[in-house]
Amino acid sequence: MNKATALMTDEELMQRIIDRDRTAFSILYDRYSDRLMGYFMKMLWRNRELSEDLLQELFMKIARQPELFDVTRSFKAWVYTVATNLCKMEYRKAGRRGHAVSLDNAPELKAGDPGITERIDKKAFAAKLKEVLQSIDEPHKSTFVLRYFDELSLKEISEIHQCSEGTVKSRLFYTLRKIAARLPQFQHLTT
Amino acid sequence: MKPDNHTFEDGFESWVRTKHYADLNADELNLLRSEGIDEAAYTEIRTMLLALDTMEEEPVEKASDAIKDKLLEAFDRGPQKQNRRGMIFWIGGIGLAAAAAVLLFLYVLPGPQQGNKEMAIRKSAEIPNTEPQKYMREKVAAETTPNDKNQSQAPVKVEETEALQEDISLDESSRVIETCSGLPPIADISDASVEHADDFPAGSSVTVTAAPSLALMRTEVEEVKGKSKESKDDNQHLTTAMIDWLVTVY
Repeated sequence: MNKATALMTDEELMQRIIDRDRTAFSILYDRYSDRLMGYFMKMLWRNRELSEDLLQELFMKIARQPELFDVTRSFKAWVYTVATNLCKMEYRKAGRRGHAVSLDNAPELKAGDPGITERIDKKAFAAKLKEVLQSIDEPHKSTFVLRYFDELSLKEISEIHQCSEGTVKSRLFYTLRKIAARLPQFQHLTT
Repeated sequence: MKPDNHTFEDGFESWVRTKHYADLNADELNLLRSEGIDEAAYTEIRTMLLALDTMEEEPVEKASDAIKDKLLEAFDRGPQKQNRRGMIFWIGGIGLAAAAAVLLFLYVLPGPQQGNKEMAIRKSAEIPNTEPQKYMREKVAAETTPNDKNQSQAPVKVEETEALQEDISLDESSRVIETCSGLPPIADISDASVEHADDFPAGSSVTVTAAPSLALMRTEVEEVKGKSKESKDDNQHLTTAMIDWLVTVY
């Protein structure tokens, strides 16, 4: 692999891909496939098969029509925009099918349970958080995941959702409070 | 921490993690107020952010290697093949739809002329067999050739009499009967004369229709034929226009 190509920015790689550079495509896939897979998994009910399908669909778009990307824009924001739109389509399909949201098999934890302090650990919190996330509506969930899992900036998220940064902030506040209210058993983590 | 330079990204999320609500200074409290966050909300947000920080690092979700292979294959094939194939499907689909529409227009849907004939037959059948109609039917029958009288369904050639020199079918005769009589349904009072009008109760609506003359009938036949011809011409014109359009498109 060409070392210079490996150090290129995402946007530079996209320019190469438009010029049909196979190596650039391979590098870009390696850079983003895992985090996009994680994003799809969180957004789509931890459905691995569906997540892989959407990941493939997304990169297929890049392989076939790379010119759809405006090289003057941020690739990260663009690729997450496409991913978020794919998720929205799945939500619509799921709504039509009357899809029952499948939740994680997270351990049921209640504040009054004996030995709760010992049982609550970081892993349990992560599992419970993912479960709670599934019950949150799409724009709030997506905003939360993009910010705290994929660590995108407010500006990037506002680009992806085509809304103001103020809206992103208020969505984050709302989601943080909602999740906190649903996970009272983890209050001790802050004390 | 720079209290006078707080933004959500460079400050808020970090100082929320480090400070209890009671420890906040005036600037920070002002910022919270401007965001509509009270003490309860602050505590909840802080709880959540801290919990997120302490959450176990997520295992990396790896997509299967087969996906990358498929994508690279697709990349090697290039973008053009798919587009070209898609275009062929689209053009073929549109062509088939257009051909089906033309066929439907030419062979399946009834033309205006045929529609008129069917309507005339239907309406003729609905005419009550009252005296004026009987008179008119007999009159028409009398003017047809004796050989044709027995062929009730076949088109009947009308003898060349007075100004009428064109063939008319029985269907058209029926239409003439209907049209000439004007046909608001006629009460069976063909024998009634004006002087008998007093026999009907006050307020009754009585229409007395005289049998139309043969000359009037002929005029109507001419009109019907003229209209049919016009409709036929329109029809042909429209079909020619559609074919021209299809030739232009392809």
